[in-house]
Amino acid sequence: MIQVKNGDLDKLGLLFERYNRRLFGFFYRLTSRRDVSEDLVQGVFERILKYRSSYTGDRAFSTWIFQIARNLHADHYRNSEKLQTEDEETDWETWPSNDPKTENLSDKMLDRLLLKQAMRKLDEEKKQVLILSRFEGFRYREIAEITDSTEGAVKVRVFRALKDLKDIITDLEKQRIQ
Amino acid sequence: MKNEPHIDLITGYLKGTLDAADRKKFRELAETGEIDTEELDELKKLYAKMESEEVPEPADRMQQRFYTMLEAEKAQQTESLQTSQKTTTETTQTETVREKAAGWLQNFRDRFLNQGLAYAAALFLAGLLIGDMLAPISERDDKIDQLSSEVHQMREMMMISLLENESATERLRAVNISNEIPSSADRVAEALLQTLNNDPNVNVRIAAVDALVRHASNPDVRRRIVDSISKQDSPVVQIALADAMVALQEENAVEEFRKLLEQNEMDSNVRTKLEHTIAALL
Repeated sequence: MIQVKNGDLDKLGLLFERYNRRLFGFFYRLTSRRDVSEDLVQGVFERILKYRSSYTGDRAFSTWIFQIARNLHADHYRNSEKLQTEDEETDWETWPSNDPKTENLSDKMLDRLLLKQAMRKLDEEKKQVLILSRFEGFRYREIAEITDSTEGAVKVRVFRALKDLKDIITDLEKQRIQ
Repeated sequence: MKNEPHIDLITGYLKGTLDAADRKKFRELAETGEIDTEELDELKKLYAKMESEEVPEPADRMQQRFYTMLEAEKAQQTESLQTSQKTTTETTQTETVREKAAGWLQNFRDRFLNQGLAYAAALFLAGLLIGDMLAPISERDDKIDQLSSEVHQMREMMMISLLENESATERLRAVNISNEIPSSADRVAEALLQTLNNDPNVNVRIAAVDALVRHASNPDVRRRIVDSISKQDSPVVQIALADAMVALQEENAVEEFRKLLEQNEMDSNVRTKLEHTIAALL
């Protein structure tokens, strides 16, 4: 990235190759929308180009790029309307429990669906730290840098996020049974 | 909240990253009940279960967009290195302004000299174009001055070419535009003087007189306005000139007015007017 800052723009291509799928995955897990995720990835690299002179190299590029990603997602989230339709709709509220479709699903698959649905119901901040920790593999210290927070606060947030997730799943299971 | 005071141990446990010493501490706290292992085990299971939701492949266009953007940025970088020390944005913006101005003007001249289209429409478009050019520019004063002067130059050229229009209405409008151009524009004054001396239409010549007053601080212009007096045969224009000279307190005009008076074919009202004018100037 320092090379990019100094004018070697081709090196940004390397960074793109290295990070574009990770970023796409990050955005997709947050938005469940492919087109939005593609736009956001582009947005990240546009910002990197635009603000390349502000990169100081005093921190890892990986945390810097995810910080940009997170900010971009926050902007998007604020601006777009909340009625974003997701790529796949799983409407648990109206899903009848004796629907033959659900009966044929293995427990494991049901679990996965439940989990997926529960994640979507989790609030944004909690969702983000879980994604960054569980799927992006960042250490808590790194997540603290990305989220502009402290390591302790991140840990607490992860813990609470898991607890919330568990509660949501329990509720969803109850609804399904009813 | 339970378990949170030991959050470091907890999260370490959840992630499975506790070292031997921490594991021992953890066991001790679990035994005393300070850590609720039941809850923790459930959460740990959940954490492990969190398989990645299947992430689809992004479309090829994502990569294409990125590389298109990169190429564009590289091109700009090369351009700015080649041209000047100015920032890239300023260079491209100024050039865009000039290109737009030149292109528009060419278009304008072609249409006007050939067809005499409604002037108002062209001026409106000019106004839009000028506004559009001025809007995105940064607020540096010298930049604005530069643009202002370019706009004025454009208006000048517009005015001058309009003065050749067949329609007197258009020529009249041309003279009126000149009022919007700073008075230091020599070409404008020159054009107005030509109009004053040569335009077949009386109204246009009168408008030129009024417009020229704005340029009268230039001594050369004044002199030539005065010279023009004796060449005028239309009484209305003569009166307009008379008024202008009084407004400017231009003593040199007296001689010219006297010359006019010597011409016999003159309307008596005008004659009186000129006599008064002479008196006012002396």
